[in-house]
Amino acid sequence: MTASTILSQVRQPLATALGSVAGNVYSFVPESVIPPAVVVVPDSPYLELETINKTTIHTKINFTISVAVAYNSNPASLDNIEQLILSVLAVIPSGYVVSSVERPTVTQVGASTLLIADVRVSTYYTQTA
Amino acid sequence: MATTVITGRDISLSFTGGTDIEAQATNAVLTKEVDRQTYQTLDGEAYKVVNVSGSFQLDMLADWGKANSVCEAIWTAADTAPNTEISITLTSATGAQFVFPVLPVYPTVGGSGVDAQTVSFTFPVARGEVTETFS
Repeated sequence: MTASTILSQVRQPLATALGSVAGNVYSFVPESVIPPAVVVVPDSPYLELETINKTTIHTKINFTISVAVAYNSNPASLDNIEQLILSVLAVIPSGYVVSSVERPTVTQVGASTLLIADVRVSTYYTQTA
Repeated sequence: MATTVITGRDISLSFTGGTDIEAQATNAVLTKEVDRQTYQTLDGEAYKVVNVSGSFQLDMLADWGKANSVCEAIWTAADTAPNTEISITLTSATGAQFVFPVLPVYPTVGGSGVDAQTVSFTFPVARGEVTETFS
């Protein structure tokens, strides 16, 4: 039997849980971002080995959930990203630790200008057969 | 010859009851101590070990609510059978195994808003009995 993967056990379930927010949700970094968008990307350090024993892989996984909205008018964009952040925080599944939300920054992605903030979360993963 | 380094990740740990403790434990330390009395005689110091004791420090991620929860198993043991020993097998690294009985203690419950809930135990080792197997 194929061993479980981080994509199937953690990233995809997280993206699925985020599916109810008003935005495009990606469990990976997409080639192009269509705002409003929520993107699950690895944080650094990505995997932290905190538990004893090495016969089975138990690891803490750190993610950044990048929340992006179109940057047109500053006050409206800030309001939009705040609302999107709150809706993301509301649907993060149990078993996750939300540590902080970084300040929003204006970022050029391809042809679009986006207002992006990073939500830092972590969870624990045990590889199963 | 290369220097040997073993880490906490080399440890394996099991309980009677078979709960999956290795997925939760972040720190496991067995301490065995002697109570050595020192006597000042006319000939100089004389020593006598009058007792041997032990303790087992275990820190782990709380797993309340999980199927086969370690926290719930130990809480129940402390509630229903506080004088019944739990046998623990700790292998420090391949070839160094320690088997010892501990008495159950209650886990702590709760945590801070920003961190994973954790639990710390200091189990007394019954009679300080540790059976070691070195191979």
